[in-house]
Amino acid sequence: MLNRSITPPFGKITSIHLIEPTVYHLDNGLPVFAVSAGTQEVLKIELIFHAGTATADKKLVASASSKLQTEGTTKRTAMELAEAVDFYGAHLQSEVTHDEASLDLYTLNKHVDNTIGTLAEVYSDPVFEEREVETYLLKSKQEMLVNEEKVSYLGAKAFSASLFGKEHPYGRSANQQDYDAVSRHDLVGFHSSFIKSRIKYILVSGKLSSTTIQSLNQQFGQEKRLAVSENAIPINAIEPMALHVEKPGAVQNSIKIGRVLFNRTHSDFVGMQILSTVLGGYFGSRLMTNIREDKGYTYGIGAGLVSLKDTGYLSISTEVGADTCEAAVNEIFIEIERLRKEPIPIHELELVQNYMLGSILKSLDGPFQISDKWKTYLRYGLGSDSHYSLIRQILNITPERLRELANTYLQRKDLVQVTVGKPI
Amino acid sequence: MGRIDFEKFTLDNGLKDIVHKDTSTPLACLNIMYDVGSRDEDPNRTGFAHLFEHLMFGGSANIPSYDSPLQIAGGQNNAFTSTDITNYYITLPVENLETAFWLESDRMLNLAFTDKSLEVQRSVVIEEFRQRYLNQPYGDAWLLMRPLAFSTHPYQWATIGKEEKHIEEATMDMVKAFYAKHYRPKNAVMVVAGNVELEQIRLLAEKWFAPIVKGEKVERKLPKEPTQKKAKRLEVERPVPLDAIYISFHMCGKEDADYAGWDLLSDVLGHGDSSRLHQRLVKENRIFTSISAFVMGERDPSLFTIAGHLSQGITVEEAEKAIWAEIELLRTESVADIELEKVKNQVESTHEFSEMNILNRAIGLAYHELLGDAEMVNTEIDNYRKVTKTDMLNLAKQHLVPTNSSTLIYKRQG
Repeated sequence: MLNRSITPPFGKITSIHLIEPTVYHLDNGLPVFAVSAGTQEVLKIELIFHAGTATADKKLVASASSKLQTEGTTKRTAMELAEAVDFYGAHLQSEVTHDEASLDLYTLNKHVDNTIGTLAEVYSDPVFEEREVETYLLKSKQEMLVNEEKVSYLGAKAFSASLFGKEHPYGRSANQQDYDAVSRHDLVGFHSSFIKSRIKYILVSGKLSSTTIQSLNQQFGQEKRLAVSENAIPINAIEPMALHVEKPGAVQNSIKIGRVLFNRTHSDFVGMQILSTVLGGYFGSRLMTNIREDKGYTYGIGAGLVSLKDTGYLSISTEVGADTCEAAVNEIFIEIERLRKEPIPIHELELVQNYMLGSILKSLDGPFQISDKWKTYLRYGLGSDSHYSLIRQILNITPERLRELANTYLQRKDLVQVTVGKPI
Repeated sequence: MGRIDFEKFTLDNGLKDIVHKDTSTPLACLNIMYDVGSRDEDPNRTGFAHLFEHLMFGGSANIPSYDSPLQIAGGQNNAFTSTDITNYYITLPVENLETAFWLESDRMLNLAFTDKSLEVQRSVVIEEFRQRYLNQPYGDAWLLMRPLAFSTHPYQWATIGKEEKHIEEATMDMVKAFYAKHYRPKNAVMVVAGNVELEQIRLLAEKWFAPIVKGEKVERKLPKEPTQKKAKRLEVERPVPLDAIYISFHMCGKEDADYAGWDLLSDVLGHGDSSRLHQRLVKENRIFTSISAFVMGERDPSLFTIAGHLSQGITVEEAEKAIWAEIELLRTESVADIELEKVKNQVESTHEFSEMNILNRAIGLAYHELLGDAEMVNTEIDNYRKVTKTDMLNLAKQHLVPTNSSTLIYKRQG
């Protein structure tokens, strides 16, 4: 008779292989990192730029420039471009984070020759036509009105400002008037200073063919490259405080708690990543167990580290019923306090270690995911050493070390707290 | 195109098993799809299939905690409920696959129902209701559109349920009865994907799932939605910054021969930057800030919908007129050859991109097996290739008419 109360034997993950990209240099020296993997006949080509929102002096310029690249070039209108990509079932996507921008092409392998030219064209020759700029700004301005009805959106804005300061490149956010201040001139200027001839590197992933690199060389390897200036962004100390933003009529309140820490290159980064996983990084985490599974205050709560170019931060985030907001905030601080006072039991730590290793394994399922992983390392000039060191550190962490980290970095006086919603 | 290869077997208790071998990944996936969704609910107890999905994580007869043993084996899991199905999946290192069999079979065998778990999950689901539907601008649009469009069929309520009250009133007896009826081997499809062998999976399935009592296949007798005879309309006011319009038309179900034609029609009209609605109503005329057209992909006859947010300063009348002008075009002129080829290419490419990880492939196989044959995951694309512009013109002519429409005007308050 099968005894179902006994766990079947299982193995612990002790190593995870990370596929190394092959590095090529195009005729002009531009590096290409190529991850050849996967079962499907697809390709993703990413052009990476040092052109994030923190790079531009003026708000909205980096994101508007990125979005409007695909809305018309010197040769083709927005409609013609859209048709050229859509016809082949391909997809052009532009993305902007705080520090980087990317312009990506997703295409079936068989259509790469039909679509790569369009990628090159929107990269090098966007016109930022007046009417397109106006339409985009109008549309974004109105979308922002919709977002401002969401407590999570308001919470994220107030949280960034509380962490870094309202005017800081990482702390600032746009308001309605800022849209009126953006002109075509700004976008043309941004494109010529940060995008044109300034690709940092190319990341290509999927099933590479023998001609993929050759095509990239034809399209991107012939222009003269210009230097990219990457200035450090100074972080100013801000007095942490508790802030409540009123949003009358909200059914739920948004809660965000956290602090400025450091990025992936810091020696305590992995330790803090483990600690934030224990706190709120997975379904069985302490915050999920307490606030969702025990008390039913929320649909979900999470904690995690965000790594930026020169800094990083911890963020704990949830939405809870307006009436339970205060109780939920208290419970969050109780759980943080416990991390500082009590060592994490060995069985819990072991579970978190295995969970983290399992999720790293899962995060490498498929070529695009592997290239995403590489993007997080390449941003800091890191190589696969960092990946293997991460695995080692997860395997070797101790409860004592985590308690030390909690006492160093999770003092209540250092934590910023933002709530949005009904008055509390 | 990449074909998805698989093998099948069925246990004596009726559980269908599909094995998909992929040697390129160190991960394995175990997916179980139950043939139950919100359409199977009592109209007075809606939101139940989804609430039940939450309870499936509350521990089973021999395993008090579902999550910890999985996490310690390096696994991850989640689930979702739709109007038609409830799906549970685990991904974990392939060496630890048996942990997934152990966990999934025990909760198919018998759940450990506790009052505490029910009470907590009732409030978690109510918070989910608020977070996703009530505390979001336009979040309740589908809670309004479904009962407007459907007079009779259970698609008239969304998966989350009609109202918070139904969830609050769920009792332990109802929960147990729901489980006994729907969560039986006969009512499920299991897919295992990864670097695995058929014989190995057969042995594991025999060991863990074969002892579970068969149960009866649930006979589904859902009320049929009568043909709509006249246009329906609802206007609401909400604290949102922009007016919005939703127009839905009754269409066929997912398994109908016309489905691919409908899907392509919605793509021509409103999928992507080169679509007609985006080009003309957002870019050229600036009547909408965003607008799209889509089908729901439900099994029973369902809805074809156009939904958009109006630009400030545009009246609802102007916006509706613009939408109907586009519909009129679809009804009177065939789509261009190049347009048809484009949307077919897009379907092919979406299909290829969506199958890049084993989890999506496993879910695709399970779903098609539930529809009758997993092989349809590979042949579905042929249905799209066969669609002609005449098919699309006929669908539009016959169905995209005011008498078949339900219009929701979602107006900005004050």
